Amino acid sequence: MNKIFAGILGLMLVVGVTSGTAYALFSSKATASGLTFATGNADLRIWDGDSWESDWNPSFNFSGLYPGFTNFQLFYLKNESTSPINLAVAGKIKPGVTENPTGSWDTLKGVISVAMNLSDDSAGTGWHTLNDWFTTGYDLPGGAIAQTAQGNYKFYVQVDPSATDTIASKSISDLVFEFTGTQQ
Amino acid sequence: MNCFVPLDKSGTMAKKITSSLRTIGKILEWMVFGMLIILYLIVLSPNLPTKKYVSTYIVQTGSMEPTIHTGSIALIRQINADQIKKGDIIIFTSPKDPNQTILHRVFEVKQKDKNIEFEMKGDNNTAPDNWMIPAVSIKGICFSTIPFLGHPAAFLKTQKGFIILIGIPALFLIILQIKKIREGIDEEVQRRIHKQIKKEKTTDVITGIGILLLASLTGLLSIQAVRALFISKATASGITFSVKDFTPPTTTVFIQGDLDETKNIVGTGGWHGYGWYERYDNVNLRIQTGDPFTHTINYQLLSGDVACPVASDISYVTGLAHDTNIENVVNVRTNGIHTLCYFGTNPPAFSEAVAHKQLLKLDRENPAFVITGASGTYSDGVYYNNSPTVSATVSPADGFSGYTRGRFDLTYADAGHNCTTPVPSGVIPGYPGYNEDNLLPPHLSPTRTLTQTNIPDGNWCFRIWVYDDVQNKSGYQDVSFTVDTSIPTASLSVTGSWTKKVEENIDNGGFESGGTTDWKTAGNVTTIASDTIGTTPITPTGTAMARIGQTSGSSGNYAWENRLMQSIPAGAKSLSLFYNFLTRDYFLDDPGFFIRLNGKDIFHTSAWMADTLVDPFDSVYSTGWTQWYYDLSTITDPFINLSISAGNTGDQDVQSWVYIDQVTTYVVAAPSHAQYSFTGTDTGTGISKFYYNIDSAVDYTLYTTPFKIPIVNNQSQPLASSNN
Repeated sequence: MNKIFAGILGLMLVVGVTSGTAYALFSSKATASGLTFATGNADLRIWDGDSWESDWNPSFNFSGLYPGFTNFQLFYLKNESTSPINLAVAGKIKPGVTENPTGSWDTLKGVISVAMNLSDDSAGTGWHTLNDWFTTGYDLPGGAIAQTAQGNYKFYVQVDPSATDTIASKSISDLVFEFTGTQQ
Repeated sequence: MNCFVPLDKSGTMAKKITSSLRTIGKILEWMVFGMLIILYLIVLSPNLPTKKYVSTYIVQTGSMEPTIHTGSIALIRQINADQIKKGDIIIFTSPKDPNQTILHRVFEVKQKDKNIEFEMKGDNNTAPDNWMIPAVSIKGICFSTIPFLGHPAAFLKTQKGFIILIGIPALFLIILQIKKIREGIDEEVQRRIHKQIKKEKTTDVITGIGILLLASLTGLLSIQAVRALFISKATASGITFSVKDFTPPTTTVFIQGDLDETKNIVGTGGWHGYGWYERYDNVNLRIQTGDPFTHTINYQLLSGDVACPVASDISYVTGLAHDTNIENVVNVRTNGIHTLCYFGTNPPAFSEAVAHKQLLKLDRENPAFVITGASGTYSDGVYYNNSPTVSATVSPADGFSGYTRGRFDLTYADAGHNCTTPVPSGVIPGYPGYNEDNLLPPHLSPTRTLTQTNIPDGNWCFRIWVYDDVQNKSGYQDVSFTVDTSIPTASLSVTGSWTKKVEENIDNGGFESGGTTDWKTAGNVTTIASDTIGTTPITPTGTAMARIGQTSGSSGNYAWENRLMQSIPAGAKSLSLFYNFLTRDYFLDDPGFFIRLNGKDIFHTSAWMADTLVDPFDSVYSTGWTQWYYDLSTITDPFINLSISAGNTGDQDVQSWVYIDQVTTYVVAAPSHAQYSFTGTDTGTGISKFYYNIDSAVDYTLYTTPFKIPIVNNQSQPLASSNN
């Protein structure tokens, strides 16, 4: 019995390694004059003000909000894939947030809306509440980002003008927006 | 020599040979498999999670010869751009072709604005590259190389290389594994034959689970590795949404103002706090609740007492900081009331819903006043008082605060009534050196009377002025007056031809001649020596008096049923009598007492004069003894029938009655050619005037004596003197 399983395992390992190597070798079309890199992969980065990173922390800070508040901050994404693939980007809030005081998320999730536009405001996601961004997520405008290309966006925030003072002095932090780039 | 090889020996040899071949085969199998794994790691290294620490790139050109040879494997780790220094060998994306990755040496590190840029150069190149590399293009630093290993790796990228280096070994391994599986199946059949099935089931299951897990892990790793090629994620984390406290602040105003203290009013009654000021020191707009550092105040100042515009009105001055003093804005305003409207804002737009209203009152104007009168008799600019209590009435006017106080200083006056020096405190009891009304504002009536008591006889002045609640002070005006409380005496002497004739036409007018002799009576009329009503005695001038009416009880006569009557001969010029009317029924006995001449009602009084009584039926009202005069000179009838009545009017219950005494008529005849002289004494200010009248109708004032009667007529009493 051991031999049977060992054989099956060996078969799987050989097939896996072989097929993985084959894909890695032949899905990359990159060439270089001085060097050739072995393979490529999708790689979406965000500019943290100093360099292109996979995580920008801390990123957006919107303090002093009040009903009717509207403002935006710029952010930049870049397709640093090592092969020429285009990445369509979608944004979504990841679970987990720090509340001050407790319950602030429930208070604010339906009052604060976020929209992501291209930096020239030629296209955008439209306004969606934090709760929508958490439960659904939306595609960023402008189509897929080509390899090495950069997407410039505005991160708009708006507070419902009809919000009551129940939201006063509420704060949520450590919220994470995850941008997923998927090869087109 | 035995040519036969023993079967057992030959079998052993064969087994040895077979065993050796199997060992070699296994070594070969593992070598092939190890080579596949190494190639796998080399190929996938840039995509593995370990790429941060090490990844591999194949050097395909000689630009870095002789440091790095063509066909080498470059081992790369990630590095921050600011850690790179001149001389490092780094790998970066070609600025000209993003599909190219280049390995060159840092020739120069340059700072451009806030960013670092690198000038690169291949060791085998004669000149630096003709571009500058930004930090974002850096992929990592080369920390080691493996010579020649790049050739087979590069060969892999060809179909031939893949078939030779991967395909054939993999096929070899696959065949071996299939063979191994087949042997395993055979051995399993044998084992089951030897009934070892049960024992090994457990081992088989464990082994199966282990193999399954390992296979799953391998599969997942492969899937993840492949998946990593299609999807990548970047996160913006540490996002903060913080809502401010946008509750609007509440505001208040702190006010401090000045009175006109330069007027230095001694003994002033003080400021009464009704909001009037000569000027404002502080009109501080303050944040009462909220953040005094970020919240702001809006205000506007309007003329008059008006409603504040809504808070959203653009007329407001906005953005004042907490505790801003706007006294400069207020103090340039005109006299009068101004409305300060203000409200707080929590920027940018959260404001108090309704503006607060605060009245600001400026009064820099002195009040004015007029003296509308004073006590005593006015003559030639002087008020003559026969009482030590003197008063003056002033009527102030003030256009703004209005809360004026009247005030006077008492001064001495000389014989010519010229005001001289102020009377100091302590000279006159109750006078502290000034006097003012103690009316507390708001004064409903601007007119008030200033009074000073205990003033000795002499000439004095009130120096009067007024001031308002802000202590704005008027000018003064003097009121000159004389106090003379002594009573003068006067006597009349007549020189020349004159006669004095007294014609008494009333008989038994004092009821001294035995009851109602010479009188006719009807009803309840009697003469008495005295009477007592309650505990009050009523006595006549002489020994008797007449009483008309019933003093108590019920069912008394009506007034017209009680009559005391006498017919007066012609010639009498005046009629005089004393009466004392009493009533228990002020409610209905109207009139309760009346006098008629020749049937004509010439005098009556009613019980209504006693309307201040509390109980109309248990109390007695009395006029007291009162003298009554009547001029008879106009009556031309040969006789004058006098009739005096008292009693009930409305009903016959609860009585009214009257006492009568000293009924008289007399005539003084004084010729106009006679010369009359008054003489008198006065311990006060002396006699300045003498008064007399004729026929009780006209008063004459004489300053000097002697004099003559200015008209030819009979002259009646009294002659009197006065010191004014």
